[in-house]
Amino acid sequence: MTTKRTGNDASQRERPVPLDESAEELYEDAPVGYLSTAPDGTILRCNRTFLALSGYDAVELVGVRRFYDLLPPGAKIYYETHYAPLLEMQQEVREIALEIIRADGQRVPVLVNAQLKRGADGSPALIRITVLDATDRRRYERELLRARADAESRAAAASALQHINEGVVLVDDDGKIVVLNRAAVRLFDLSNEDVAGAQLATIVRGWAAIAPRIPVVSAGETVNSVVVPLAVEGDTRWVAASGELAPDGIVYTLRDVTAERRLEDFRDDIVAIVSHELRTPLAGVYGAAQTLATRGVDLSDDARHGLVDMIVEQSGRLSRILDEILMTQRLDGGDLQLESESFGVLSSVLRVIEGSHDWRNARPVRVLESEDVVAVGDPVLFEQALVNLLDNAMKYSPAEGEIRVRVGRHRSSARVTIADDGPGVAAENQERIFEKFFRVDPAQITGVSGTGLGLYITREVARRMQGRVGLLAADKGATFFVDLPAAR
Amino acid sequence: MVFAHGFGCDQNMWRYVAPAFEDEYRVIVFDHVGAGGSDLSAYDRAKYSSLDGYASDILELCRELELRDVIFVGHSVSAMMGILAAVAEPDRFQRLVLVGPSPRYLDDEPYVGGFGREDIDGLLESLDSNYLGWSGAMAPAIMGNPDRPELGEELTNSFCRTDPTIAKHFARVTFLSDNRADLGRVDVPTLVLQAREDVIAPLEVGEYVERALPQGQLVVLDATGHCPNLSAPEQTIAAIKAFLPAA
Repeated sequence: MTTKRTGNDASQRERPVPLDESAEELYEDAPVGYLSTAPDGTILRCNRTFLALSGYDAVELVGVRRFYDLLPPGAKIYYETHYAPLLEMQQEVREIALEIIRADGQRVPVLVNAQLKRGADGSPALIRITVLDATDRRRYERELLRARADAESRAAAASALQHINEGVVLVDDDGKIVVLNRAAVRLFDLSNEDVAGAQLATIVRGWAAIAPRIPVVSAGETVNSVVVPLAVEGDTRWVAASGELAPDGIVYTLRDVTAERRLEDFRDDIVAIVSHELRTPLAGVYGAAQTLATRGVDLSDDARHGLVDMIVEQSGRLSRILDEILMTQRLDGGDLQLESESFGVLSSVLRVIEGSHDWRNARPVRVLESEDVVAVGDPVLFEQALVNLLDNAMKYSPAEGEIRVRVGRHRSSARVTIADDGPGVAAENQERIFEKFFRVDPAQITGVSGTGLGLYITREVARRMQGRVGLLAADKGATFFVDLPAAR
Repeated sequence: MVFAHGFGCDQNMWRYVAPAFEDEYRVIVFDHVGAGGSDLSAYDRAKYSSLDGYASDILELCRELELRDVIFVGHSVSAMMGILAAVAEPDRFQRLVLVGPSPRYLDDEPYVGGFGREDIDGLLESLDSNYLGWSGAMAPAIMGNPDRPELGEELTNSFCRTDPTIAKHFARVTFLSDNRADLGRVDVPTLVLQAREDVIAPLEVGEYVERALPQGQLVVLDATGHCPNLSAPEQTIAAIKAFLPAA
């Protein structure tokens, strides 16, 4: 081997080669193993490098073994199904990874290149093979394969995370979102799933309020989640939340328990109603009936009639309370069937007013100048809604007050307004009076009792007929309205 | 004449043999789904988790091309696919030629298939070391080059190029299959072509296949290795021609 060098003195000299670099030496001592085999693989010649690599003596290989015989069974299959056919088809193969079993039984990973030389007649004559010790390279490749398996299992885990029905959020030490799964996107009502890197407290406004209340434990410790109210878009969601410290932040697990919570609240409220609202009429009925039973014969006709009237009235009240509870349950359970038909709103209103005359708290009702509008909806449920509004107006009216009712159009709706001379509704209660179980005066100081379900039922019924209930005025008496879509 | 390639490479396996029949027969070569130029998106893991999936492809091909009196030439694992296809639709096939067939690669006392379970694991490892490319689904995500699919291609050894995940699945299906019971159900004259020395389908296996076939005939070629169709094409052609009825 010679190297040419150009010097400044323009003298060009061949650089002396310090060692024997004959072709023979280069072959025998090359930094790669050389093999020449017959077409059937029988080893015809190999260099010293290959002998060192394989641990065999030349006499054990040349003319005795085939290259193929040095391979373990799995690699033999690969050889037969890939290497050999490729060599036949392309006349060469490159960078095939195989293993060679050394004379001492050790396996050496090698990279093999091979060339098929054909004779003058075109038939295979000789195969030249280079064999490179690839021990370190294979180790590196195994690392790569492990990294791949790792990455794939991570990707699989990430995908599984997306399909869990509980919200999972990984937040780093700076409060930034690292991972947020789909259940969490739903729970937080996020419009965008791509929130990695954002501050959780920024994109979920209610988060800052609840985060300090969520218990966070070290990995592996058991933790009881706490139920916290999360404010999202004008609504409160109840979330059972817990956290666990991760190497680079905190993993929060969040479960939406709003439905369970509502059910619990409902149960609590039912208990409250039963204890407060049912008790009074029940006591009345019981007392009157007992008096009649024990001292009935001694009483005057008037007194007896009074007691019987009380039983009738109070049991009627009991029955109405039960109806309201059942109706609420049907509304919440979603099994309320609604009719959809056209009907005259004014006649419905007049029928309800007519029926109200014998209510215990009846007040005079004046129908203001009205127009009979045909609406679309369920006439029976609509009348129920009117009954509730009228009952509400009478409950809050002073004894000498009157109720004013008007039927007309409002935009594309039929509208009924019901005005009373009562105390009106305080500003802070104007939204809340339509909530389930809300009572302005739960202690009944004003003597007005109720389940807190009437206006809720009215709102829900109207909503399901694509209608609306609301409060028009609330300072001097209250004016409620109910709208239903007008027929075209 | 339909030529089906085996595990490993593609239809190029027939490049020295198939042309010899083109004068007398309509010759069809194809790539199995998952190999060569096939549409990899057609690879359905469930369908191809047994050789029946491949056999049904062969029948579909015959139906689509309206082939009758088919001479089916199957190499390696495709031999068993041909067996399954002929069991399903015997009337469609006139002759079967099985090159290096094996109905069962694993040893199963007293049956000798030539391999143990751990050898198949060794093969899977070889496949892994020779396909350092990431699986098709993962590569773009991990390497961040979703718009440069060619990064994973352009391999030197292109005739044996397959998606690594598919190759490993095909290897498992191939080498763990057991079609010994199907051999007796083929009522089509069948030629078993066997190399003198073949580690994948040893001579005993070829003899077993001949015995199990109702109309089997074994011809041992003076060749070594699993691919006489490449290493000894002249002999292979001559043996097939001798077996086929005079045109």
